Amino acid sequence: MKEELFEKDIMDFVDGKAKDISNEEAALIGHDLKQIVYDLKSMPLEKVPTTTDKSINDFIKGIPQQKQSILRLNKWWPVMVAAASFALLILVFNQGNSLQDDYQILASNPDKLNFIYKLNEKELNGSDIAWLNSELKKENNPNIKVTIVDLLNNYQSKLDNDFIRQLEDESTPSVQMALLNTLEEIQYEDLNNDLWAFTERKNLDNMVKSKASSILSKSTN
Amino acid sequence: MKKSKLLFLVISILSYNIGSSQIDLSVYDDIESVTVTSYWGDINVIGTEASADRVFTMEVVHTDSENNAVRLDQIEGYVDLSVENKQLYIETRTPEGFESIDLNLKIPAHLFLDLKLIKGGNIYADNLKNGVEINILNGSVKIERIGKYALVNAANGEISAEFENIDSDKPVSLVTMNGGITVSLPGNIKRDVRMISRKNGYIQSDFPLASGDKISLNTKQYSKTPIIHTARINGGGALLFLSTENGPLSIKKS
Repeated sequence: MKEELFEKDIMDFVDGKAKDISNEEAALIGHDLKQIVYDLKSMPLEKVPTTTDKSINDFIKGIPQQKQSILRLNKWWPVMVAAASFALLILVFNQGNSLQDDYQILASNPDKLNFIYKLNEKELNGSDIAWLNSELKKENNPNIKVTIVDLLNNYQSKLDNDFIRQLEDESTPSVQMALLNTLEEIQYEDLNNDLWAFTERKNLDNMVKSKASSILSKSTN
Repeated sequence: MKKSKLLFLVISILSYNIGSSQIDLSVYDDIESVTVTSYWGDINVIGTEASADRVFTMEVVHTDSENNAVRLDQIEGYVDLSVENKQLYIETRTPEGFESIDLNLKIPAHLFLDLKLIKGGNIYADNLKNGVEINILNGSVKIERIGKYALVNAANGEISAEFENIDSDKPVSLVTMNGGITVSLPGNIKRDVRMISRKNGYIQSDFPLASGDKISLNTKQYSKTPIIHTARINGGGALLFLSTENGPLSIKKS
């Protein structure tokens, strides 16, 4: 209780509310404190640098920006999930394109030929056969073409007009002959018309022409 | 006396022709492949090893409709040379009447070779380590000491191919419409083999051919029916595709 009174006397003395302190011990403390306060007040003022202002300002501005970016991600999140799901569905259900894509990244003829031959180990569906027909049309290397025809020969019942029409554009005799060997075993009602047109072509190799004529004569008998 | 004069004349003509006409191609030394396109005439390509003796040359022989053959010192107008993407293209001119142009090439053995003979002639290639692709209409193909792989397609003519250091994962495809096919392979090679001989064929093989089919081997009797088989050599591997419409198939150990 006594100490609390001394503290009040000291505070009043330091604040200037009292001119003196009656207790000697408290008076010594009070004088020391008053001197410290005086010294503090007499110290020069240091102005806060403008860069600090800017840093604080940027920090304050940054807080709402971060919140905004999170909000943007949240906004697009459902769309991204939907797109990923769609891509996954394509990957799972569209196996035909996958086969085609795997082939189209191959640059060299030996790699393409290997790939085609390995397809003998798979069961090809309608879209695979359609794709092979399109490759047969645009491929330049005759060895790859002959290998494609040899593969397609296993799917005679699934070969349609696209395969038969390959003869129209084909100019390499060995490929023409490979096509004719397969066509010979296909029952197709318009085959004769296509073969007649084929045998009329100029510069047809004699052996190829003879084969086409032989197929025609067998079908008309 | 007349005979000796005639012999002297022949030797003089030959020595004149042999002594000239090597076109230097060493300026193209940094290329990776050679693509040759020709119409009529033989094409011979020899691979030369990387050493001081390595040469890169071409000899061009033009034969006119009168059957006069001349080795050309100047190939301009007969053969066109161009380079694109590290490929040297050698193209003979479109035939003017009945003429042929023979090409004798010596090229670095590491170059890949792509040959196309549009009309006819014979093709011979030797000691090429980086693979060959050949398309020919009329004439035979003989390739020896070939590395990596080969795709050969012929219409009328036999194919003979001998391999060294063949890539285990690269295919060999030899297809002709009219003629037999002979292939020589290293004894330890592993291959899946697809064999097609539509008529007048038989199959000879130094290798045992493992197959679910019953294959009649090494009986030189021309079959009246198509021979079509799939088999394996030494357990199987990359593809060896042999197909002819007319002729036998022979697989030898080199």
